[in-house]
Amino acid sequence: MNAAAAARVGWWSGLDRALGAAEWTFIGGALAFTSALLFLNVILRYVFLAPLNWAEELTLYLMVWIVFVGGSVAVRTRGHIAIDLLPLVLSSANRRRLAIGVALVALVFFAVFFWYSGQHVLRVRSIGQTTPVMGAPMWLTYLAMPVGSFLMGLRTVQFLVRTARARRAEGVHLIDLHD
Amino acid sequence: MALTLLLVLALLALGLAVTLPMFIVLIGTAFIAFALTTPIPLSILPQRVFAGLESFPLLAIPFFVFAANIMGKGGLSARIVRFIQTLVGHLPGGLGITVVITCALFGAITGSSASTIVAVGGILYPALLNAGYTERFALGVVTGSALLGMIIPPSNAMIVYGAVAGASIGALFMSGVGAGAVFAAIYSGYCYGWAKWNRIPVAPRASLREVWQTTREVFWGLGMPAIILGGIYGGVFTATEAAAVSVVYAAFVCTVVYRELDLKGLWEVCLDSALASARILIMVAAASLFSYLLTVTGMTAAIAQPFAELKGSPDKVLLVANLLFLVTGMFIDVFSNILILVPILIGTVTAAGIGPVHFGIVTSVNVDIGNVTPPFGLNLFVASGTFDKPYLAVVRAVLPWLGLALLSLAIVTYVPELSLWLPKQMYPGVR
Repeated sequence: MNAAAAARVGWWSGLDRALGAAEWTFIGGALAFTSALLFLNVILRYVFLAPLNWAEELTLYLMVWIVFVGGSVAVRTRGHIAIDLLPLVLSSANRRRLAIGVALVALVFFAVFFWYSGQHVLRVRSIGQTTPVMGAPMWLTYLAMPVGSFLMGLRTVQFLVRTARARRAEGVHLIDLHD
Repeated sequence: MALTLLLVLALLALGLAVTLPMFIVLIGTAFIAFALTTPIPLSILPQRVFAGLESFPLLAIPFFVFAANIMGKGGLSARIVRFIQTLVGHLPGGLGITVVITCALFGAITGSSASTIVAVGGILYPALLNAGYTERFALGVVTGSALLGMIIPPSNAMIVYGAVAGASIGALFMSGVGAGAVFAAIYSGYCYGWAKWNRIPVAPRASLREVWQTTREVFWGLGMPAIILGGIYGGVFTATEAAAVSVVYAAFVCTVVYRELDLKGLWEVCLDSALASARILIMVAAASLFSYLLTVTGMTAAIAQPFAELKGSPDKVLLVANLLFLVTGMFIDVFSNILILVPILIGTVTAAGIGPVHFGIVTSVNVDIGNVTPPFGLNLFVASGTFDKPYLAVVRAVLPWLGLALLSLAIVTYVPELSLWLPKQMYPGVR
């Protein structure tokens, strides 16, 4: 590997790690925050008789963001629910071909979903729709979809590059299930 | 129309077979089918995906996942195991029965059966082998009993059903107690009989002192189901708030009382839970778009129509609904199964005079069994990964338990009093 290529890899892996950490921190932070918020809201309602009327709505829309950003984390950790029966009967070379083929299809899917959900965001933004309780711009909640599919697409490209480089792609078919 | 159905089925089968993530298969199939067979602009589809998530009751799922993970990592599963073992460990098949009852109790803090395999099976599977049980029995009992995780309240399947069918999640939760008892009784009976038949050595009875000690240890953890059920039933809070409260309670018990988790450990559990929730809810979003596809293209009506002719006979309606759920459950996950089939079936079910809670518990038990039906039962893969055994060995081991589960399902379906008795005591008018 020449120096320029090494620098490129170093640059990318640094960005990758920073992005990964940001995604993890976001989804974990949002889950911790919303748990505490709803708990606090029960206390406020019973003890102080003054619940926060926006707590439910904020929790709902944060959860939408958790789902799509978490979707990207799941692409990176090969954690999405899939039926991984076929790789069990394939040779390791075919398994790698399958993984690459599947990643290409997924990439097309993320591109299409990015395009249509992005259009939806722009449309909602131009109408100026707001959320029912907080009156926040509604497009900010829909934005989770294009952002999520962009991140998922990015992770898929990353997987493709990594798999294309790796000699053997052992373990790429393994999915991680802990729900 | 028939052509559309064929196209949809072909795309689903192909996508699933080549190991594409299931949410991509569902959304992708919907996009292709809409583009080819309807004039509907594709740009409205993301909105339907989003709408699938925009439901406050569904929000209970991530919090229940989080609370159960805290309890699992924070030492509660090991304490429940010790507690149950001191109570039933001395019976013939005692360790097998310990697995069943522990899964039932762990089910009272978790809403998923996959997490029950990991939390309970991880501890008891090696213990079963040490005590002289065969590998096949040990694999089977931990994988089969884990179904109780989604039957005993809280239950992620019931939350999704409640959101789709508009049924009371509280009443559904209560009906899970009776249905869970049916399962636990049948499974325990099988453990007893199997151990007698195979002459598994019987363990000595625990002393009263040990019983007292383990009871004290488990006491705090079992406060959680009390909060969840008591709070929802008492109208103190919604199921979603109950879930959030149980997160805070679980964090308190595991960090302050049990002292098995520090803040760093808690944060790691939080990250895992957020990821697990994203994984589940993205499926829910995808399945609701898919369900929209079935409705708009008229497939829902076409499938529902022959079914509707059965409405004069509730028994037949239940039988056919059960068979449909079982067949689809062999191929798709719990949440897609509910989101796709319930809207198709609910009209006829209501017309036949079957109550929404009765149908809810039947549905929940049935889709849960889909977790262990080959070829694509999710828990078969989870067990294969957790215990490092070949997939086919897991399938073989699970078969007798699958039979028992189907027997329990038949009882839950045709003796509704067993599961509806408890919710009826609390919510008048529940059917």
